[in-house]
Amino acid sequence: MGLGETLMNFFEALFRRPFGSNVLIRPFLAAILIAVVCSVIGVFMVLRGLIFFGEGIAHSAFAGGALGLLLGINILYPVSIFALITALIIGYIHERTKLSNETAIGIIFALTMAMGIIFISLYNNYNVSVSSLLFGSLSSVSLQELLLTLGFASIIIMVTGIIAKWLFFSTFDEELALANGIPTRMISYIFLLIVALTIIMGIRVVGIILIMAFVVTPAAAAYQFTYKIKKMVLYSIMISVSCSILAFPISYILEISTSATIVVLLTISFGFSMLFSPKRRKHAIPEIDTEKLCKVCEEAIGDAYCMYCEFEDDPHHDQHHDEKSPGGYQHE
Amino acid sequence: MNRSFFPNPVIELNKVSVVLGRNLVLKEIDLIVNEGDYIGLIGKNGSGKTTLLKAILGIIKPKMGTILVNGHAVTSDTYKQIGYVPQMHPIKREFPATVYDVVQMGLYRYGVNKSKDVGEDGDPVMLALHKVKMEKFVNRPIGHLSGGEQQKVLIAQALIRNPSILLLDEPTSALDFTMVQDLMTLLRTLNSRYNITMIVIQHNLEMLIPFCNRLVMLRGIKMYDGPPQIEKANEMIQRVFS
Repeated sequence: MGLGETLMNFFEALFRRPFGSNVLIRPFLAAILIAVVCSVIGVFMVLRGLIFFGEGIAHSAFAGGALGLLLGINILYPVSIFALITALIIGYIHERTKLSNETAIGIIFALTMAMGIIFISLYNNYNVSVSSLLFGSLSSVSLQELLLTLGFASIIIMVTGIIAKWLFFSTFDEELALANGIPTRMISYIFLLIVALTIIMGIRVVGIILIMAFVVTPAAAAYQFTYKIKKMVLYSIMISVSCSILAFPISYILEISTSATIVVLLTISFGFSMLFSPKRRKHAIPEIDTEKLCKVCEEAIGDAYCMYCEFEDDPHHDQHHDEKSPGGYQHE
Repeated sequence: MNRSFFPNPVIELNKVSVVLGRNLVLKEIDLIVNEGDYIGLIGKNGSGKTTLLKAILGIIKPKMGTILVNGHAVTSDTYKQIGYVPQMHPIKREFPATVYDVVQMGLYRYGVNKSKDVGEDGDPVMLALHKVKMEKFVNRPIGHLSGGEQQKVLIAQALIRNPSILLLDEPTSALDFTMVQDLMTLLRTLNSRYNITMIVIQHNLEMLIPFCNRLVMLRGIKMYDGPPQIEKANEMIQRVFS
């Protein structure tokens, strides 16, 4: 079968079959939902330095999933209990003992992994279920799971939207936020629970191993492009969703795991963001021939600024730097 | 300057004791701060200076004693009347916030759209930046500014709600000599032009004394409260540090 024919089959399977019997549309929608939620939460996790915390929650969820398999119950319940309790315990240990987050997570991380291994060895039946816990099973998402994912996504996005400003302020400086009347302790705990919910939501679909890539990578890529938090969230969503969409035809053609393909594409996009980041370009400014720099304006080259203009009192607003040629700051 | 002849107390501490963990950090502090005062708060590390500011803000609750701000007991809403600039932490160079965003954060507790509602006087963010002469930096990423400029932005954030009192915790600790002088002059201007009552924690006495009208020295208890005379201050420092 040629490439064109395979692609035609893919689009027919995605769009022409009725929703109920469509085996591609459900994973497609689930992946988009998870991509959106993870990329939004990821922005705050990256800024607050909570990546290792996410890993800790994901691994505690593994223990919950393993217990679920052992007891023969729906893994959603033990996974949720383990993830939420772990989030609260880590937050509490960090707050009460003044240990660093890493130390608290390191302790819980090892414990929950050990518990997971014990449950798996008691289960004594390492099969597809355990494998899907680790790597997810995007291709077999049921309608019920899709609706559950939609429910989780709605709650997470709504709560994050409500606390976003306060969360951003306490991310910038917790002490300053507290002095300005922001209930930083409550915000911190709510966010830890949101992270736990995000991981619970994504774990069935993309698995424990890959879930953090959905959270961290698009946010880290978006971080390279802007100094505005709203834009960072928007770019993170755009990167994550476009990689998820692109991964479907690629994985269909190559007959490989879709969630793993998404992660690879996200990582490639992060590599590109490092190469083309205006923030990286800005560091080159001091090496530019100062004779050619604009002496008066405060206009940006992308997100960078002309440092030589700072000392002038009368910035102008109707003239711009030449973005294509950082060395040749041109006035229009 | 708009000071009345009779002093008008805006902060009153009466026998305030603060315990943190098992340590008695402040013991029976009496202090009256009058409207328009510019108080330099000095003392060794661990002498309770920051704790005193946080107790006034309502962040730390005293074990004993009372604190009144503008005649009312300190509550969780006291922050509305007080601007606070904590000790500066390094800001990541690439943190995704502009100067405008950081100043606007001072309004977040009031609701998200407050600063978009430009009143008769104009955008409160720009007004606050105008007070510290930082308007032209408004679109800069906060991480791109120098330490002194960042400190001025944080002062603008503290000023955005037009507080009558400003508390500053070592605002000059990370600044070089010229920046310190620039910042101290700015604080003096805010005090005299806008009649903002100030308490400033500062280690550099030579920079503090020409600007403040009262000096308070702490060492768990109040060691000195009086005019900012370098000789007296030095004498007290000798006693405190010996």
